[in-house]
Amino acid sequence: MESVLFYTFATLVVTTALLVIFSNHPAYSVLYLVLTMFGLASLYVMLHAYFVAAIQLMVYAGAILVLFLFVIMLLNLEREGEESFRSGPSRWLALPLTLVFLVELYTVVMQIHIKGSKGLSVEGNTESLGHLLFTQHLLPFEIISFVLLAAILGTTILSKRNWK
Amino acid sequence: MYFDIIIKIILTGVVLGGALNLAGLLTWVERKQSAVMQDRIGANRASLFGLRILGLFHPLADMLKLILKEDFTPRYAHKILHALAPFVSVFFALIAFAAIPIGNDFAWRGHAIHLQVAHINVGLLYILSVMSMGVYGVVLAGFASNNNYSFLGGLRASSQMISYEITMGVSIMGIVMMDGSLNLQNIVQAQGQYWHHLPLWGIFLQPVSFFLFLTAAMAETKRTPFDLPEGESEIIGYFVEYSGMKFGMFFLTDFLETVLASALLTTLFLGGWQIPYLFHDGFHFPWGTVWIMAQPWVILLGVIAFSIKVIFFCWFLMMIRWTLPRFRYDQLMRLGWKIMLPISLINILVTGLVMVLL
Amino acid sequence: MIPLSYYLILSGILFSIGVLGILIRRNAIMILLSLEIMLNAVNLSFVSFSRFSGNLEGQIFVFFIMTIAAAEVAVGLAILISIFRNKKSVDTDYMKSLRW
Repeated sequence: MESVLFYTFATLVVTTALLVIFSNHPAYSVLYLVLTMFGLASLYVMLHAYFVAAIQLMVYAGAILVLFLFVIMLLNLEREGEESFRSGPSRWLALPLTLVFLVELYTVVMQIHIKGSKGLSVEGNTESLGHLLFTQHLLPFEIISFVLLAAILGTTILSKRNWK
Repeated sequence: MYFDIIIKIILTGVVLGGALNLAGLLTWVERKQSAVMQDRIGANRASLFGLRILGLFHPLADMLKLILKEDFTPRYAHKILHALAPFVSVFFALIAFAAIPIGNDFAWRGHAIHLQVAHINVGLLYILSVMSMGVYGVVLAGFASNNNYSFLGGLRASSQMISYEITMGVSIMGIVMMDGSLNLQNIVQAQGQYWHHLPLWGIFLQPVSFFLFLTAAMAETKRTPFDLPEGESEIIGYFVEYSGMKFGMFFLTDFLETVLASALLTTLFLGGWQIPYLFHDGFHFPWGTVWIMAQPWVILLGVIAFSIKVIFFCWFLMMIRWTLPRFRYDQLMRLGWKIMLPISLINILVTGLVMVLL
Repeated sequence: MIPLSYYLILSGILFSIGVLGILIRRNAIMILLSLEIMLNAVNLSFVSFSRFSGNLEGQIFVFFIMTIAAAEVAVGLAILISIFRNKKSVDTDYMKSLRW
């Protein structure tokens, strides 16, 4: 049962991710990426990371990708077709290089042996994560808010047309 | 195992059937309500075998009309996305009902039965994320129609929905802080406590949060003071290019979201299925009277109370819809970002301070 | 129980797809999207490590990565829009000048 679910979601994630990078219209890419996010959220649920799964849907699918779609609509990019892919040698080198990278990752992953409690007790629910976040990781949590503030300011300044 | 699955299937049927039927009925309620408020009689012509019963057959007639109408796709539309958008809208409006508890937990023949389709501990986050997903239906409709008016309508609608989503999420944090759980069932159970015989419902604990959430929920459902995305008569909305049942599905989504907003308001602020002074073994009134009741009746009363509260909020939202005029777009944005969001943040701060000091 | 290596390989495949996307596309929006795929691949491996080592720190990392990703997308898209205003294109091959 579990492996059936895993293979279903893994196939969903990989196919939609491939469709993201190969589709012609950016809007379609964003929509396929939404499906990828759903697949990933399902995988997170299988890994008992409920909070991360909910946040994944809320932040990625609900906010970030809507922002992408918004910008694509604003810029009104026409169907670009073949010319939005790179031409020349870099295009034909990309696939072999990626495959080499993948093989490399595979050999590294095969050497990983995790010691420890095999983790069957860890539940990533809101309470336990919130507790960790507000005790052990309080400083990074506060600093992150400054990163967000900087992003807000930067975006505002960048989107002003004539900044005086 | 099989027993649990059957129970869940029945529960899903009850919840979906209830939500869809209520949403369908709301089309009739809205026409009648507007008629009453404008001193008219309203829809009363549809009849079946000579029976009119206050025009209650009108939703059926409307449905039949929408199904039989021509389903027209514009020539330059993105065909697949154009067909997909209404389904996306309805889908996300429907699955959000999964985390809403319609009654208390109870045990029957050794099985624990949760009257909540999905008993998950991030229930509130789930509902918020699914509601934020509803924006895709709108954006897709605007984008796929390939028409400038629907495109602008889509941009308008999606920026409104994104803006008010934030206030909606932030405003309920006060409730979450006080009850210490994101599972809606736990939140409802926590509202069964009393302070000097006053039931500790969310509306008494967090009145500011209640009004913020009510306003944001109206903006999310795109009802009248905030109906710029649609504006049937003047500014054209994102679904101009839709006809027949696809248009009907956008319409249905609106009413489904009204039902969802009412259910959420009930669960978070009006104690869900709680009835004041009704405990698990019957009524214990503050003046000392005690009515002992069997458990099934207590559960049933809870479900009935939940339904009545939801219907009350549906009616309340309808009444606001026919009372207030529409905002201008800049007023809408100013209200969302400069007034409601700061107030909801201050509300969290004050709640936290009070909780620390007490 | 699915072993850890399955999740890691899935994460590796996803990451490679992101790399491939960055290498073959010219449109800047597509490059940002591929970046998102790569970030999500990393998130997946963090969550699976967290599950299999019995330690929630991995999910805390995912939380921080998502925050950074949100900030990155907001700023990146704002830059893209201002580039589009000046060049009328988001093609990375036309972004050659260091100032204008």
